Amino acid sequence: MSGFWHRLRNELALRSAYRNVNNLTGDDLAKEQLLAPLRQFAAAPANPSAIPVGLLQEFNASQRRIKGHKKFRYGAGGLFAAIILFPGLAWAGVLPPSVARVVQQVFNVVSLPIHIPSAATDSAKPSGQTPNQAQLTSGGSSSTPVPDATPSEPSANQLSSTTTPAESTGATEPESNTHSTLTPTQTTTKSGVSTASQPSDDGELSTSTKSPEPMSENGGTAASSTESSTTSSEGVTGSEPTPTPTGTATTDPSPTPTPTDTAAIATSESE
Amino acid sequence: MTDRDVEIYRDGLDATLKLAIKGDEACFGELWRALNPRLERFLYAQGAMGDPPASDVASETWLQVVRDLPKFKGDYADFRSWLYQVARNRMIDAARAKARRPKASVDIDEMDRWASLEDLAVGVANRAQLDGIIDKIRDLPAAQSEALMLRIVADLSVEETAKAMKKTPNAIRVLVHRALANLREEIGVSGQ
Repeated sequence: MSGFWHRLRNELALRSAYRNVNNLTGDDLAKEQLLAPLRQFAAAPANPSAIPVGLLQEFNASQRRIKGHKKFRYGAGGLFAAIILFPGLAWAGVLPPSVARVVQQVFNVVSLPIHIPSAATDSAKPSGQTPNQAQLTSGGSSSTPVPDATPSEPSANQLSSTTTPAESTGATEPESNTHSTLTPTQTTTKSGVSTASQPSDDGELSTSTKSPEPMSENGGTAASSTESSTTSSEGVTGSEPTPTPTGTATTDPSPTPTPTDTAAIATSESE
Repeated sequence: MTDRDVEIYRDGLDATLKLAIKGDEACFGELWRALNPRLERFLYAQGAMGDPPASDVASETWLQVVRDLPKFKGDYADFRSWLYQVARNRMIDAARAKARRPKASVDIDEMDRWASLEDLAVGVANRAQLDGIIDKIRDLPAAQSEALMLRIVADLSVEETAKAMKKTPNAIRVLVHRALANLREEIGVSGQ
């Protein structure tokens, strides 16, 4: 109980002091005569003195330390961004492919074993196809200019074994058995599967299906037949072997034989 | 010196402080020359006639300030509060070190203390009266003595003193009020 009264007395004294606080201003303190000697002592002019040399050296050393810490902090941050942040963003596909390619090239230069998936670095293009096959699939044929796009009248014994690329369908067209005129062909379906039609010995055509493969203008396809009409990728004109009635087998360089070829053959035969 | 002069002077020191934080050696020297005399007098009045000398504690204070200056944020008034806060802490550390390793009073120490008093008390007409006042202030409770010294010797405002002592401004006013009351009572009693 005595502790309670003690605390109460202190609290009341404090409240009383607070009531007098407003009376204690800076002016009152300044006018207090008791403190005059102390005030005079505090305001006395100081002896001129230079800053200690040791303190200046410590000041400069401290500034250098702070600048070194900042360089370390920025260097570490840059290293983190280069090694962890950018590859991570490229891996997640956040960065544009061009930036991802640059990041991969930088890693290759500095011999860092970090590989960014090709999906992040490749530009958008049809998947699983080469440019040539993409053309075949889409039906475009830029390597075979066709002087006469209109198909000529087929002879009775001939059927156009090929269709223009624009007319290619999914079905394999049957071909008549014309050993001199049959042309090993390849028709490509819209799905990209090429169908090779090869004349057999007895004239019947056998078809085989194969997947699209790169073909060059001058090279023969894997399904080159033993009998073929001579065609050239440049069309009727140009240096090309003379078509023979006997149907000497020549390789067909053109991936897309054109109707004019059959027309030329028919003309030569009639002659 | 009018209040306007003081304001202009303090604005100039604000700019000096900002440059010192950025690493300007000359500006730091100017700050030292502006603040060190009062700092040493405050430390002397607090530890008057005691160990260690005020100049040693002041040197330790400035070394600590130099190390932490790049991290300081605030204006000149905040800097002064911070300076005296560091000085108080260094004084406490020195007192604890002295308590752990007490050494016998040596005449050389006494001569050092009087030498520092000679340097600091330039212009004081009555040194005996000064010593008497300082002794009586030191006899007050620690918080009251410290608040009074910071207000009179260090010339800090109530807000700056509150920041230095980590108290509220009203608490500082109460401490100074009580210190003056006790001083009047002591001098009145001793004067009788």
